[in-house]
Parts: sequence; C-alpha cells; structure tokens
Amino acid sequence: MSTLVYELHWPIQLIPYVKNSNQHIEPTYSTRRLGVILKWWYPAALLEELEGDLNEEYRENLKSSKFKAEWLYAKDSIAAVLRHWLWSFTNYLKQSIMISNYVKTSFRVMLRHKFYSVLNIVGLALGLSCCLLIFLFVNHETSYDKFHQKAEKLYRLNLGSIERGYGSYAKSSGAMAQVLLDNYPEIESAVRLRHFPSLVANGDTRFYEDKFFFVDSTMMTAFSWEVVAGNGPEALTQPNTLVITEEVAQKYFPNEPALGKQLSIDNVMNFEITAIVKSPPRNSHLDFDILASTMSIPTHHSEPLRTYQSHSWYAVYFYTYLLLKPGIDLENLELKLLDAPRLYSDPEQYELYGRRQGLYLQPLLDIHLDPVSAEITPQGNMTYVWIFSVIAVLILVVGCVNYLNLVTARASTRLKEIGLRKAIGASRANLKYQFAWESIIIGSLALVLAWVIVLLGLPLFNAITGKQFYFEDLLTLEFILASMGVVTLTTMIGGLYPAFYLAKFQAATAIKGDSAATGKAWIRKSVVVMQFSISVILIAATFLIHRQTSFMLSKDLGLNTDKVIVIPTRGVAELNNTYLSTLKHQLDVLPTVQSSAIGELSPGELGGGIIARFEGMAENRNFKTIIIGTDYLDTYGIELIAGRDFSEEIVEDTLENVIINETLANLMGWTPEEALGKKYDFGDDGINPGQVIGVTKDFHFRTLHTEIVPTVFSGNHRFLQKIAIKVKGDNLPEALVDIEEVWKGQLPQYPFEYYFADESLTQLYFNEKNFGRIFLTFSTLAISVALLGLIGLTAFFVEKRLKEFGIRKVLGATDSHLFVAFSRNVVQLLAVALVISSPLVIILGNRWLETFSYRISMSADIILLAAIISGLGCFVILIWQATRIIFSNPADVLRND
Amino acid sequence: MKGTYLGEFEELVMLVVGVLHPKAYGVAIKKQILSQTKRKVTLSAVHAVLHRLENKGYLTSEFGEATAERGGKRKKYFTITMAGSKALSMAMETRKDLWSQIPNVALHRS
Repeated sequence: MSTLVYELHWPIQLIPYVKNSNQHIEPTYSTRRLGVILKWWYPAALLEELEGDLNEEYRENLKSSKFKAEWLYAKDSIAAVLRHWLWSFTNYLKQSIMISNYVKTSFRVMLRHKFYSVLNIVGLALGLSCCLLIFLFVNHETSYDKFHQKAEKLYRLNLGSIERGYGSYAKSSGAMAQVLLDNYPEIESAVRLRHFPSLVANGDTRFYEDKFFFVDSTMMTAFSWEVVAGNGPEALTQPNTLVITEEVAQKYFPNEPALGKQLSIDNVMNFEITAIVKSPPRNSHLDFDILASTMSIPTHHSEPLRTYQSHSWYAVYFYTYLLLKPGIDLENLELKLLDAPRLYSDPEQYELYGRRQGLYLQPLLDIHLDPVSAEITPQGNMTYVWIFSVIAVLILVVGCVNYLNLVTARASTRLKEIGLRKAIGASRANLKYQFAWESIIIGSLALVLAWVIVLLGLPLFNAITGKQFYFEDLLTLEFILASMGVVTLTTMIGGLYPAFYLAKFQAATAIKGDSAATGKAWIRKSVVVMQFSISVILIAATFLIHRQTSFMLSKDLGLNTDKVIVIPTRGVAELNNTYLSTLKHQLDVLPTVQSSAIGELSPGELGGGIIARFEGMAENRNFKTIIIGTDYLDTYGIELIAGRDFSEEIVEDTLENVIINETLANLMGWTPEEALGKKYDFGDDGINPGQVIGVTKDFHFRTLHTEIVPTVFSGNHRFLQKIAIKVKGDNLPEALVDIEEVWKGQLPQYPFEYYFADESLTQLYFNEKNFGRIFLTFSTLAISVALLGLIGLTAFFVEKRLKEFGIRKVLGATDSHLFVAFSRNVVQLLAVALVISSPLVIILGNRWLETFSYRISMSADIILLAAIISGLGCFVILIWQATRIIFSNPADVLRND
Repeated sequence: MKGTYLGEFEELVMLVVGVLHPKAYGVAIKKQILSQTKRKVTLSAVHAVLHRLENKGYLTSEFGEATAERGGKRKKYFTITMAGSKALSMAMETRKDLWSQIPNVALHRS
C-alpha cells in the first residue's frame, strides 16, 4: 500500500503531497516585499513555480553574499513580472490584428446579403437623420437668449390680473420702469422698448422700418449686442440718436461708413447714427433693425407717444426689462411688486383701473418657450419641443428595433457560420467582436448616409419649420457629438444584443441550424405591434392636425377678408387726415374698388380694451374695443343686424357712440333692437355719454383659439392705423395700379405699401400649419422606417417558409390560400396594434383639441383612416413578398432536400 | 510549416529539458545552460520560454516535491511531449540536411 496522501487540485489531477512542516524558510526583507508584488501582478497559476525557483536560487546565492542574493531575487522577480506583462501586451496586439479581419468579414457578410444590408442602413439612416434634424430644432429652440451675458439676471415685466396670479401680457407702461427703479433697490437697471414702426429716409432711399424701437440707453449695457462701430454704452444717451444694424447701414449707405450720418425719420426729424451693431442672433427673442433713443420721445411729432403713452401708468405701450442685482430675494421682490400700483400710481386712476393689475416678472430665458400675449415676434412653444423630442426618440427606437429584429431573425441563416467559426476555434469573445464590428460598420455607414440626408434635407427642413439653419450648424461640436452619441447608442442597442445573444450558441446546435434557437417569436411580434402602434398614432395625429387646421381656415368667421387690401398708416396724422378728407372719396369712386375704410386694427390683430360702462351696469369694466371709421363693417363684410353704421356727418359718431356685437348684447340681456339707444360712457367721466347705434352679428376677429368676446366698435378717431380697401371684381392687379395712382397723387412723400388682409389672418395659424407640416414630415419618415422593417421581416419569413409553401402548393393550395396563410400573422399583429393605439390617439387628440375654443370633435374615422393607411402599407408589402411565394416553382424550392 | 519552427533559445531549453529528464525544472535548467554553454540567462527568461513551449504543446509539466530551500513551494517538472520531440528532431533534420548540402569550400575547409 502506498503511503502517499493524494490531494485534489484544479484542474483535476492527483498530485503527491509531501508534508514539510519543518522546511519553512525565514523570509528576508526583499522576499516579503516582493512577494506581494508577485502575488498581485503575476498569474496565480504560475506563482508557485516562480516563487519556489526564486527561493531556491536565493538560498544558493546566500552562500556567496546576502547582498547578491537579495539583489538577484529582487531583479528576477521584477523581470518576471515585466516579462509577463510584455507578453500579455504583445498578445493583445496580435488580437487586434484580428480587427482588420472582422472588418473584412463584416463587409463580406453585408455584400452577400445586399438586400438586408441596404434595408438596415437606410432604415437606420432615416431614423438618425430625423433625430439629428429634431436635435437641431430642439437645440435651437432651447438656446434662446442664452448669449446675453447677464441673461440669468434679466427679467421682463409682464402684466396680469391679480386673480389669475400670473403675467399674461408682455407689455407694461412706460411710466413703470423709473418708478420701480427708484423704489426697489433690488433692481440694478431697467430697459424700456417702444415698438414704433417709422418711415426712415436718406435722401431718396425711403422705407418703412417695421422693426423700429425707441429704447433706453441701458439697452446697450444690460443686453449683449455685438457692437461693430461706435461706442455702445454711450450710443443712446442723447436725444435724436440711432443704433442701426449692419444690414440697415448697408441699405441706406451702400459702400460708405454710416457712423455719424443722419437719417430722416417720418419726414420731419433727423436722427444721428451713433453706433452700428450686428443683427440680433437667430436665437434672440428680441429682433430689431433700428433702435432710437427714448430721449427723443419728448420732441417726437406724435402727440400720443409724447404724452400719455409714455407717462401714464395705465397706458400699456412699452416692453420693460429689468436687470436685477445678484443675490437678491426674488420671491420677496415679486411680492412687493404686486403692491406697486397701489403705492405709486395715481390714486384716482388706481381705483378706476388698477385694483386688479398685477406686475409679474418673467425670466428672460423663459420667454421664448413660454410666451404670453403681445409678444413682439411670434415665439416658440414648449409643448412642440417636447412632442418633437418624443417623436425623435420614437423614430430612433423604431429604427433600432428594426435593426435588432432583422439581425436576430436572420440569426438562423448565420447560425451555420457561427457554428463553423466555433468549430475551428473561434472563442465567444471572437464572435462577439465579429458581431459588434458588423453593427459598428452598419452604424457608421448609416451615420454617413444620415449626414448626407440632413445636408440635402436642410432647405426643406427650413421651409417646414420656418427657421433658418445653415450648413455651419451641422459643424458645431454639439451636433457632431450628438450624432456620434446617437449612433453609438443605436449600435449598442441594435448591435450588441445580437452579439451576445448569438455568440452564446453551442457549436453543435448552431451547425444544425436549429430554428428553435433563433430567438423568441413573442419579442419579434411585440416589436412589430409597437411599430404599428406608433405608425397608427402618428398617422392619426397628422390627420387630426390637418383637419383642425383646415376647419379653422374654412370656418365662417362672420367677417370676410377676401380681396381686402390693407395700407398701414401707422397712426401718422398726415396720412389719416388725408385719407379722411380726400383719399376715401377718390378711392370709393374707383371702378375697381367696392368700398374703403380706416380703422385701428385689421382682423387677426390683438387690440386693447377700454374701460367703460353701459346703461344698467353697476361698475366699470374692460371691453375689447376696436376703433373704426365709416364703411369698416361693410369693407370686412361684418353684418349689422340692427341699427346703422357710423357716419362722418354725425358728430356724436366720432365721439362716444358705439356699435356692439351680439355677444355683448346678450351679456347685457338685450335683444338687438332693445340695445339701440342704450347709454355708453367711456372713462366713467360722465362727459358726452354716447349711445349704442348698431348691433352686429358675431364674428371671429382673432383666431379660433379664443372665444368670441363682448366687443365694442368705437367711431372715435384716435387710433387710426390702417386703411382697408375691398376690391370689386377679380382683377386685383388692376385695382392695385388704380389705388397706387390715387395714393401717389395725394401722398407722394409716402411709399405705397400694402398687404392682403386674408394673408395676415392666415399667418396667425402659422404655428398650427407649421406643426402640421413638421408632424406630416416626421410621421411619414417614421412610417417609412417602420415599413422598411416590415419589408425586411416579411422577406425573411418568405425565405424561411419557402419550402413549407412549396409543399402546400404541391398538395394543392391555391394562390389565395397561400396568401392568407402567409399574411394571417401580420394582420393579427396590426389588429393588436389598433387596439393598443386607439385609446392613446383619443386621449392625446382630445388633449390637443382642448387648446382650441372652436374645434372639430374627435371621431372614429380618423383612427379608421390611420388603420387603413397603415394596413394598406402592409398589404402592399405582403403582396409584393407573397408574389415571391406564389411564383416560386415547388420543384426548385424542394429540390435540395 | 509556420508554427512548428523553434527559436534558437527555445531549442536550447528543450534540449536541456531532455538532458535533465525527468527532473527538469527552472533552476536546474538555468544551471545546466550555464554549465553546458557558459551562457548566463535569467530565471524569468527560462520561465517565459518554458511557458511558451508548454502553450505550443511541446512541453508538459507537473508539480513535484517541495523542499526546504524552496520555502515549501513545489517544483514544476517539465517533460518533452510527442509534438515537442517531433519539432526537435525536425529542427535537427533540417540542420543536418542543410549541413550536408554546404560544399566544403564554402566553409573554408580543405
């Protein structure tokens, strides 16, 4: 019998184990120290041998000298570690040589399956390009006003009613800024802007400048406009000074320096140019061409501007921006501001107008995406930013899922390859690398294609969004990083899953091509259901938006802007008076003109309110009031149901007589006939009370977002801004020639400028139309991506089931049998998708519709239509693929077995 | 064939393993090389070559007994495998073959 004790070692081998209790060696300084290094840095499997050999040598070297032994021990052990790592590193390098092999094989695989590769790349590229475009859009929308160095400390003073508790109106009064600055130490400086379109001329170069503002000199210090000539901070400190943009300078002074030159304003004033700035960047909510100093207002020719518009607390004509000091208590300041009207406005006027007035602060950075009424230029919409971000993610998900689906579905065709690779010694890591590289290559190709699509699609995208994006925007670091990030994410999701999933198959299973191993069918099915659902939702949403928009555009507004030409007078007294005294008569007799009228607003514009009282009312209240001249109702086709129109002959008509709308009559509890002759008092002063002389049918003056409000027409000639001319017959160009001739005869010193009333009204639906167009574009793309995925999947199923269908054919199945058998699954999935998406469409659709006062109702046919369209898409694909089955010859298909 | 080729030092180590059979382990091999060829090699070089040859399948190893001077660590004995002996003899054949083809003149032998 053997006396040896056997010990179990890993890997299992029987090794004689000898007890050696008394053979312990005293560890020296270096052995102890280096033992740790070795343990950590040398592979454990080889450690014992190395340590043993080192110890043995150490013992032997001790015989010559301790120093030599220590030195050699240290040197040898370090050398062993270094050698080991060098070896590992060269091994890694040898591994990385494989990369070229992975790349080569990937391209071979892609070329062999051209159809699927193109499908994959195009699908991904479409998804990516949508994402990138939406990224551009969202990035732009969220970048507004960030370029101002003091953006964080800038606020706009908004007005709102105290009951509502927030600022709903962007304008404030010109008197507020100075009072607030004097009484609230938290405010460092204030900037007032008064939008005042003016006629600007240098000699014969004469234009109406719409983006003309009177501003405080702090405009140049609180904000960060880029000054190219002149002294910015000093520029607007003197009366009659101007700051203009480079474009304006070029327009009036081509090829000569504009700084220090004079420009004529409204033919009666001369202003000196004291600085030239770059145009405000695209992401500025403030957009201007010319800034004039507010110091010039006291000598301005317009009396209203000179007087109450600039000095009355309750005349709301200015935009006020406040620069706050750092580190102040904002909440406290906001609370204190609510008291300002009571403390600082005229007590009598406060009682009359100010009790409900609230002053609110809106951060500059919030303005663009959270606009209130009376913004200078149309601003953005946070909801749209959110919706588009969600669409971007959805499209990308659909794209990724397509990729994933195709790769896993086709795994069975690649299983043999995987099995063979394994059989000839590829490790699981090798296979993972192989698949990872394939997805990286497909991802990169898709990215390049996406960039090309974005580049080519940019003009279209600009047209759709109404934004201006340039090629340079595609070269920003943010954009490049974003696209890289998105593509990395996509390949990670779409590529790495198959990499891990496929690499783990056993070689034997793989080589057999066992179809059970090709992934779970329910995952693939749910993915298809998800894609269908997204498609149905997007199609339904597109229809809904389109219907609501066309409903709004075609609804009878109760007024008619068709063939109405509008000539703005901008309140210039000379123009208004000329019109009233002579021009109107000359225009009205033109054979091409039906009627003409002057008024404060044209349909679609947001007017103001006037605080007044009708007979029988206990208290004053604010009524929406539109100031109009004779024939205004006629010109815009607003129907009178009782009473008469204003007349120039009756003096009371130009004072406090009014015409009201039906809603107002109903509010007062009057029938139209009863309303006539009822007393109306404007301003509660009891002087010259007027009466109701007419009642009109209800009409939509603004968009259908808002309800019809009680409205007063006043004939008081104070705010006449626009001449409206209704053309008789269909010959607009001829009419324009006639009108211009009359104009030139009377007012040669004013350019003849006009626009069409219906166009400006339609402009108000810009956001909806825009939204509709963007939605249409992106949902089309999303659906295309989803359909591409479906094509890939069905094509694959055809390949897989070709033999099955061959046998069915041989057994006598007809073409229609085959088609039903083939498409049954897809139709089932579509049905499930409908069940999932319908409630979502209804919920989300109703949410959106609630933002309109006048809206279509959510109807089932929208969902039905969406279902039919997506069904039709599937059907076409199914038929296309089914023809491959139907036209296949069973003899060819079954020959191989 | 690429792969069966042996480096000069690899060949030397394999030959020494053969000489020391069956008691060839790190320190012994190093000593043997020193005494037979007067070449001073480091222990780590010997180990590296031994492990490389083992990876290639030319050598095989098993743990032997532990001794006091090894601090209780076991020796690792290397032996030549079938593939190793083939590779060795192929190297020798090649050399013999080449030697036999060299004309005497070329080696300055009369």
